[in-house]
Amino acid sequence: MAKELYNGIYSSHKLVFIERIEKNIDYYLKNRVLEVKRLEQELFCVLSKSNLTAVLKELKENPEFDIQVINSINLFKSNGTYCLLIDLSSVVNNYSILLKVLLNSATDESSRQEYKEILPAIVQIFKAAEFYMSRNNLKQSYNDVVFKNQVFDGLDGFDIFLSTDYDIIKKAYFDTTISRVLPQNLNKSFNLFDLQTSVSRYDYSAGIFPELCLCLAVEELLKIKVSKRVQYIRILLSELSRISSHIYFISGIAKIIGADMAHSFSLLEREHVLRILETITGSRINPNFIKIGGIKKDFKPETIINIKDSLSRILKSVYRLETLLLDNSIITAKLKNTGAADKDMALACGVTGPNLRASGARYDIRKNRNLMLYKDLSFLVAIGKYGDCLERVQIRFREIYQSIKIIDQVINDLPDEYIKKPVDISEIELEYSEMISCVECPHGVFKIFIEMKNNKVLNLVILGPSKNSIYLAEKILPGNRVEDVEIILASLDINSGELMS
Amino acid sequence: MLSSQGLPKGDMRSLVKNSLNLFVAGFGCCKQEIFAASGPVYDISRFGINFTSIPEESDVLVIQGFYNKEGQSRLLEYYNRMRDPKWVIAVGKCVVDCNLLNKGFQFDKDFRETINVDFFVPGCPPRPETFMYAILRLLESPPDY
Amino acid sequence: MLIILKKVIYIFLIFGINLAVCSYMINKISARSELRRGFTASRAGGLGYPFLEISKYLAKSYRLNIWEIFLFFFSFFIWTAIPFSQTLILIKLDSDLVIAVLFYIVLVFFSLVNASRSSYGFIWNNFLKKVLMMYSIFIPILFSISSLVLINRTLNLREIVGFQYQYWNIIYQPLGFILMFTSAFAQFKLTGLVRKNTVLFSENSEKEGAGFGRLITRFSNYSTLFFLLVIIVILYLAGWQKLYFVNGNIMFVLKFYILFFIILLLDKATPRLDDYKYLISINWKFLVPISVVNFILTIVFFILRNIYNLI
Repeated sequence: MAKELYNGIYSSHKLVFIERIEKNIDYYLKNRVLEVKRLEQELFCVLSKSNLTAVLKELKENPEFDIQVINSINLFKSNGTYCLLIDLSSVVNNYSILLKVLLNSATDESSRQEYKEILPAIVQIFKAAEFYMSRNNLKQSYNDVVFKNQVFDGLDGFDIFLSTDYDIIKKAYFDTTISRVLPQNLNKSFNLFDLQTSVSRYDYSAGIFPELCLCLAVEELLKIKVSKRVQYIRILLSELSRISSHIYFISGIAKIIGADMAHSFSLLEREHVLRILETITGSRINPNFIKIGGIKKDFKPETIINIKDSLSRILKSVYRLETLLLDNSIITAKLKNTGAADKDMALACGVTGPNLRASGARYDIRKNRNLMLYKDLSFLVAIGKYGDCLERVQIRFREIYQSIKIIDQVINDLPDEYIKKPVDISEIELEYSEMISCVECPHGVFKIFIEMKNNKVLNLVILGPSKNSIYLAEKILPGNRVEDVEIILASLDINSGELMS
Repeated sequence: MLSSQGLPKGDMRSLVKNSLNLFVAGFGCCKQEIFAASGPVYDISRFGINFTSIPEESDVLVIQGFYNKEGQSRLLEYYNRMRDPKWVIAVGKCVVDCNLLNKGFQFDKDFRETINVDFFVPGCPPRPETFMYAILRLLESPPDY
Repeated sequence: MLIILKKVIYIFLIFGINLAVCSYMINKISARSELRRGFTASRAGGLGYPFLEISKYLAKSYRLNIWEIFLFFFSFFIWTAIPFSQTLILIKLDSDLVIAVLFYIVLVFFSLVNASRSSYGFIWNNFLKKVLMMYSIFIPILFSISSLVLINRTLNLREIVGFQYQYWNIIYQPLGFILMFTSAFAQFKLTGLVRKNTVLFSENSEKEGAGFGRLITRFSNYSTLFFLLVIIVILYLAGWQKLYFVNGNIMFVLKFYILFFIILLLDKATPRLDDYKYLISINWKFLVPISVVNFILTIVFFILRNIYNLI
């Protein structure tokens, strides 16, 4: 009774701070900001271009806000005007804020021109924004060693330009022109029905997270509450895909190190997990299963018995994999002390996910925000200390064990309910509204910004975690040897599908 | 010295049949299913097929994923570096039809004229077994190059 | 005249049959240890695998150059100086061991030059690095050979085998055997018959000579490995001596294949080791000091036994 009252009158304890910060923004920046809103659990501000630098400075220096991290900058078009979307976050105070800056240009090229002119102003305040400037002059100067994009086995989607001093790297520059698409060409069909099925290609090793993100956003707009069984099934699927994505990562590292037996074993284990996913959803990689208001089809009680059996087998074989890979002193000597990243460096680059947790910061969306029903389950968050390659590999092994623990709890507690049909998309009626939602995917934090009106999606901006990992690699590589570039890049788990924007 | 222009075409194809080298170009979701075919479950090296990362010693070029202008010019480079005899397989819906997320994009005219695709494999992504089926059909009756 | 022709044919046959069997074993064992099957697409369960590989290399277009021709002839020429039995030897000299070592050094030099030349000229950095890696692992072999020569007091390979009729040399020189074995293992990992090769192939040398050139480099890699294993068997394990009732030649083949099998399995269990970092920790910190210690110990025992008659 008290719990229901508490949840009804006040939002949960984590959101109290966000409301306070919203009031602070109203108080401090009243004249400069056009609009401030709270969209589910994130903050959203609309500005005009002339006030940008003043607002950024205020956000950075005021101890009430204390924003030190910039995650990404995107250029998009909404309602006929070109806008910038800046994603800032504060790890200390545990919130994040999106700024929408209105530009004054009318055509594509002039908007890009304006974008190039604004950026130096932003770089003076937040140094990490230099990744988004076009730095073509570096191509000619960092010319000692050039890795074109197919030289390494799993790292394609960007070129690497290095300037070296015999064996040791001095500076690095990543060029992503191969994988870039103009934002005007992306997502030309803004039909929600098509988008639901095709958006899962943005994260190719764990295809369920973009779908989940999109459906959570739309459900929040329509104010639908989903039943407990549906939420538990969604948690089950996301943890299974997390396991499969981490095993894919392990097979990639094992191939580069040269441990062939671990490479084959991990591919074998991945098949077991993908077959479970296939019996539930019908497809291995792009599940096309989560719809707005529920899931597509319920599963029979026999699959639960299958999952229980195979879980114990998976646990044993992952344990065997870990002893194969990490009990070997040569392999640990290869991974230790290469590519170390400080906590300050990782935070300044805007990295999230296991890469940040390896450096010592405890930031997991499943614990920091109200994400589905994770608050009823008990699991630990794995944190490392030094931030080198060995810690990143070890953390992913620990996350697999925690996922198995979560699945165990979910299966034993699954209520026997009847699932309603998902929402019919042609009958949605909404006025013009925006929404942000974020999910913890195995590479980092996956965010979506969506603008909808009346069952048509006007705009979709995807803020994925892999770009920050590339920027972190630019900072880590100086000081290491040229032969270690492969291992460092593979341990950062870069997903080239998101680089498209 | 011997060179490939001396022997007639039929002999060349049967000599290469038993140990093909594949070169996978591009980044996309289909890549992981192609590499999963080399694992112990869908064993593809029983037929003598290996994966390389060097175009000069590969026989088959596998195209998948997304390409913009720069990516296309690099694909042409790889194709010109490959030596006779060579074949091309296109995997996935993104190359066969149109990319799901970027519908306005099409390959250039020069590209479509220089590269003749021998087999198209539909699917998004196709299972490893369908990919193996395409390669086995290539081994049975290799088309002219 | 006919006798020499017969011997040449015998040696070619031995080399060819061993090549076929060893490449088949490499394919099957490295596949079975990864839970795969290996090559099963031809008749008789894949026994024709080496011949299919050879025919595949001949089918691609290629260009040869002078270093590869040298390498090709030399990898066959190296076997003229090594005895396979008391009578099966082409050149009968009194200092077989020195000639064998010199041939080996020249063979490695040819394969290194072949690996680092390109159409843009010699890349001196990479060439010197590769020379350093391949030759510095060869140093403990020289030390252990010289300490062995002190005991047996001949340089003739047939006499060394003859002296082991009662006790094998491994009992007198256990440290030397360990040194030679690890050094051969490290060279096997560097040349890379099983995995992708990064020492003996640079990015530029693959552009020319793909096809027949690749076949020649594989011949030379097998040649170096076989050479090292045969030298180990002759020096330490009593090459063709009888063991109770088993014939000498059969014992030779058995010992060779047991060593080959052990090296192959060890190679699958350890990761890639072609960095300069591991060269330091394997070679300069472990192998070379122990080889010097071995040498000094044999000198001490030699002096005490032969000059002062103490032992």
